[in-house]
Amino acid sequence: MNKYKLYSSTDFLNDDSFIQWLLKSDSDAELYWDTFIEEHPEKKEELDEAVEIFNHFRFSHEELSLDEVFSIWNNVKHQSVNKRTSLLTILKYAAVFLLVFTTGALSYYFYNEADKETEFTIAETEPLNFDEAQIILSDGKSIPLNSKASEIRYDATGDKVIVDNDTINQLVGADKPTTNRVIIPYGKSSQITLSDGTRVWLNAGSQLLYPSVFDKKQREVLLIGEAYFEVEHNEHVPFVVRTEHADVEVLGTSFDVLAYPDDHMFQTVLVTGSVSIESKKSGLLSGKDKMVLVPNQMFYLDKESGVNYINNVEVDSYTSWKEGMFNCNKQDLSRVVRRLERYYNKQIHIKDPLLGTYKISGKLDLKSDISEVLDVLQAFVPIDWGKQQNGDYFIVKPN
Amino acid sequence: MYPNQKEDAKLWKEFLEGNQGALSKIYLTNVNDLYAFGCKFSVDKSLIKDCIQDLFVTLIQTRTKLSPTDNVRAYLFTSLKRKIVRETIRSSKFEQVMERGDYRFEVGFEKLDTQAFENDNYSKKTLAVRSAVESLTSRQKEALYLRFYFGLSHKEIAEVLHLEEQSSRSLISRAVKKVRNVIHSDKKRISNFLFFLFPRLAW
Repeated sequence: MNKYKLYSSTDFLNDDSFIQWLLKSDSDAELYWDTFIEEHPEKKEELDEAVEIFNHFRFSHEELSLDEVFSIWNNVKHQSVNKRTSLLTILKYAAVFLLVFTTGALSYYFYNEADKETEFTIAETEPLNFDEAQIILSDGKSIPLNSKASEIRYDATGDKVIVDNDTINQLVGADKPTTNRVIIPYGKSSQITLSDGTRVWLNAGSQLLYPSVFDKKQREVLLIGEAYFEVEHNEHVPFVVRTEHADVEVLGTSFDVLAYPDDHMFQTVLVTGSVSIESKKSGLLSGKDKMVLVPNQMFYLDKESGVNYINNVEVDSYTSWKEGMFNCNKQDLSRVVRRLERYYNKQIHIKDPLLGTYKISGKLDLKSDISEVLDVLQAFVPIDWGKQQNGDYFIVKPN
Repeated sequence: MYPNQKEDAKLWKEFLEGNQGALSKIYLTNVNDLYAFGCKFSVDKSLIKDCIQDLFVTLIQTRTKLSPTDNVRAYLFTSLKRKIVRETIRSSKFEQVMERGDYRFEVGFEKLDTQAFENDNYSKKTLAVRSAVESLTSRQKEALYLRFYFGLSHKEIAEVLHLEEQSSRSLISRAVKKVRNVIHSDKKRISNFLFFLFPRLAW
């Protein structure tokens, strides 16, 4: 017998897995509770009440800045006698951490295998400001990217970088690490042409780390967030996009990779050519899985459960962001809103969690103002929206 | 089981074996939660930061004496709280000296957007719920916060509050019932009103 059959709202709130579901619903839990309600409609009232009580609690939240996080850790190192961890290590992990920061979610790490730790060495720079679009060159120099959609181009030798229309020279030593890094905050985007001719569109709230000149054996970049790649074909030198949860390897093709640290999933969509994907740590399952995609297929990985699958998709819906359009095909309102938040760098609160499950299909023009986009959404689904005093937006049920 | 529990436990083990890099990762994943939790005990932000710093220094210095744990988060929360309570008692020279083990815990809520939700029934309820929560004891508030904000299990709450697991359950139950009554009193008022209009129907 299901123990929940006798539960009152208080009992539900005392149940650990119920609370986990409210705080962080994944598809398994969602399915479990949906089925439970279907089978026990008499419990709906108690369950709804439990959710209502829970929803009334919105505690205030204090957060440390990235600067403070570093300085506290630095002090810890100075105060303790056996200090070994370098700031570099912290910086490396912080690369993943910082995006997570603003959302209050938990972070994960890129590098589990020690042998990979040297591949991307970040020059020791002053504490970074991740709210500003910038390119950081191998010598640690940071150049701001001022336009909303910036353009960066490398020549074949990697020592000349053209940002928008300015040319910048950087010294490329053969023995020194030459990792360059582009940081694009929410609300901006960038297009980068790498030294091998590969073109990368970097979406809002993303970072790309790459060498100014590629290695002769392998072309490797590291991505946090979302990017669309048009890889210059070179069958002798594979191109690898490394992300937190999976690596995507190609010879020459175009594809989209979505790997935001604060999303619960990793996905990649293939437009032309072929790619192979190696997922790293698939949640509960350990070991590596290798998958091969053909055009118009999407690989989807749920980070938490490790569940993954390949689907046939309409690629336009996944790559249209680089043209400033956003196609959605039966997507949850909550996911659409998440995209809009990133794109416009605004907070949008869905006041009623049930609203987040509305399915949206259609095409949104992201060039227009955010309020216009919300108006369009309102035409699709029964919602009301408004603007709070602090500049955040909210979505509620219409009266 | 919190999202990073397994990873943290693994790192904790590595740290105990002498790998200090492992602690830096534990620090990074947990420092913001620790800070958010700490801020509920005192408005003195720099005190909270000092306590976090002190906590990790102590961990490094006493590494060989530490024992393995499969719940790093609960351990860190407990240790930080101990430090903060000790420090606040020490620094409150002019205030009334608190009794040993006694402390203040202010939950603090997200700001309500009063303009957008003027006269909105839901917001009124939220306000009523909030004032009900404010009237709870510090320990009840702390338990509610740990449960509804971080999703701590009863086992973890018991550890942080030095309780039996069963007491954590009844602490939450009592607090929730109080909140539920506030939500219900609203519904009751409506039924009283109906009774006034149609007293005969109630027979």
